[in-house]
Amino acid sequence: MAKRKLLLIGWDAADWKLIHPLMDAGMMPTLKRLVETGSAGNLATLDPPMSPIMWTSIATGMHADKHGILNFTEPDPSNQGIRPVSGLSRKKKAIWNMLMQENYKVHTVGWWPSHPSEPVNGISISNFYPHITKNGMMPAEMSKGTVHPESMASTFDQLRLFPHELTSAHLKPFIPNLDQVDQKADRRVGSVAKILAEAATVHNAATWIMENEAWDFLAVYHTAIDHFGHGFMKYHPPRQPQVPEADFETYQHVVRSGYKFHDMMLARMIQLAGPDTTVVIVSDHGFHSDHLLKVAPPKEPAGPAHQHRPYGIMVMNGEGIKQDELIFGASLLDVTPTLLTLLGLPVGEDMDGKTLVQVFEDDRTPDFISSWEDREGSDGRHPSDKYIDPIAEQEALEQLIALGYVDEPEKDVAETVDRTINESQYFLARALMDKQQYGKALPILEELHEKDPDAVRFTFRLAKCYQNLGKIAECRFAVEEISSQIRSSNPQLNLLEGSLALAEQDYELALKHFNTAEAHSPDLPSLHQQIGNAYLSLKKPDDAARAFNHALNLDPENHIALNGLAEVYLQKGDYPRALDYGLNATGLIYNYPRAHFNIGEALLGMEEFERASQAYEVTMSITPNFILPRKRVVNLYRNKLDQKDKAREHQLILDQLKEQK
Amino acid sequence: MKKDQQQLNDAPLEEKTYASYDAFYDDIPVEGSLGILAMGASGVIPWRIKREKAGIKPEFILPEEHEDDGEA
Repeated sequence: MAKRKLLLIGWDAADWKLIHPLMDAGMMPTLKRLVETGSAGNLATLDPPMSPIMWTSIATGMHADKHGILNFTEPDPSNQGIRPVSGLSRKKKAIWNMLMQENYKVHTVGWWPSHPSEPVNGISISNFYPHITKNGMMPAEMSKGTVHPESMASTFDQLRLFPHELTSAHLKPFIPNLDQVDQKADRRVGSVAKILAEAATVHNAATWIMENEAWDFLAVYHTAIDHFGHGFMKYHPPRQPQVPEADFETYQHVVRSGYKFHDMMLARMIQLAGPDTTVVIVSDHGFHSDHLLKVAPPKEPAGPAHQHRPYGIMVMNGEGIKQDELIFGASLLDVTPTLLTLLGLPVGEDMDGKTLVQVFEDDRTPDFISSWEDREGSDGRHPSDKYIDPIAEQEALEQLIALGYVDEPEKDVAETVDRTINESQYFLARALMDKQQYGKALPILEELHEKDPDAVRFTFRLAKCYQNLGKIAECRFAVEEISSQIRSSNPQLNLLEGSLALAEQDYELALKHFNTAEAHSPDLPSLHQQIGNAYLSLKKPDDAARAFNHALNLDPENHIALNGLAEVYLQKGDYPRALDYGLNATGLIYNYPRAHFNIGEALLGMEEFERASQAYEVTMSITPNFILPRKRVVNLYRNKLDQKDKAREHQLILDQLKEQK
Repeated sequence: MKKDQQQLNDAPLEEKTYASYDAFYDDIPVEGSLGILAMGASGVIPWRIKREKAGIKPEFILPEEHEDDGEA
């Protein structure tokens, strides 16, 4: 039987909040058709929501602690400076490596990070390919390693499109009054040209491959929607008060037209792919486009990521995929397991994601192997000696410097490298906290705090880590340290102090801190979540409901507030409503143990014991050390479901957990 | 504005069928269009030839690196 082709398209930062109105207005007809005749839904992002980390999680099905990509930059082992993060730091196989081992002809274009290009059996074009140098006015040389095979480099070099080649005809849909802009004073027109040229370059390469090469799998990554967002979302209608009217008039169409252009490119890709192709479109995160957009994100490393929304998109369309199906509870970790199952291939047990079985028309379930890493054979990766751990390399280099074998780098170079390593470790700790592995994150954060006690964001995370581990005294100490460093009123600190007071069971003090935060930032959704939690602790469910509903008014897709409402209705004994809210919360973020636990509690209240046990099992699969669901299943298996062996099994684990505690 | 929006919504050239680049070379506007860009390599290659022959000059001044487009 002929293989079905698989086209995986990445649109960085694509967001349903923008796409739905554009589809309704007829501006994205191609995507609309795919959604209506396929499966589509939210794709929950991970923390930290930074693109190189996320796109590697999409391609591997694993969190950052496993795949090894931790930052935008990394130490450069060759010259003691830093460099853009390299594909050589990826420790695990990407889906194209797995598929090549299964004799698929694979190609990749622009995936982030993928430089130097991998020696796959098709064409691999690295993320350096579309990048245009500072002036952008003259064709720059392509970096060595941009194209594999190297014999194809000149072909793809000629397919790069430069901003200076574009004309008003290309830019007027983005900036209708282009002729009135003084470009010497306003470089934003040039920004649009640059982003558009980069998108067209990637598209040229992808379409060339589709027209000229045999292919079974093609992965294409576009960064333009994200870049349009960071540069121009603040001008997207309706006009925000801080945006000057003239700027709004000039740039309000940029984001919309960017999406429209992606739909046009998509139409071409589908035309070239043909009907025997499954098309999958994903984004790594969304982008705030309303009152939640921080027009001026914090000036810190990766500060622009504060503009990201926690839900990207996923669309699947092709034979065997359900039509007009809503995908729920998906995370970007699920993409690779789902694609493997689609193609009848096993999922690695070491993957963090799950197969989205809901999208398949048949009843297929995933097969498993322990790990794709164990599978031998040509996989298109570089020889193993080329792979590096940049932080370990840096440590080795420092040893050589100490021994006098290597000259000490310039002071500013050394500081830059140190800063990069610290940031990478910080992001690793955040990734571990996102997996609820606070015990593993703690030593990393403690070391960072010791190295740089003035970095408030490190201390903030450390305090949260202590809090989650129940180390309340240590948390209090860290909070006081932050208080002494932040002189002005800071709502985030008020929130932290409030949640600490909650942990210390001083509910009145907690509410006092939250009220202070509210006076400063009434529109902060996390604030109203915390206020709701305080009222829940005070056993005031109606007040809690008011706070959670306030958070939902600010952001209807606030999974924490939805879960808060589940707890409200559990307190009120209204189990069906608690179940509804719990399901809505896990529908947005599946990897949310507290919400699964609440679903279990609601089902238990409804005396649906079998389903309750399943919800508790899911909770424990995410957080094995969570004691309460373990107690519940012991009781259920022993007294309600007549499964004594299972009850004994869980009782043993429970005893061990109690002992550890 | 209306005209520009109309241009954006116009069916891209790839929806027409051409036997070869030469067959639609005459149809390509020398200043290009988003439809030509969306066609990918087989639209951009012939348009670029036409554009270069016409000697169209660069129109845009580019920003410094990451001046306005964030990267996250």
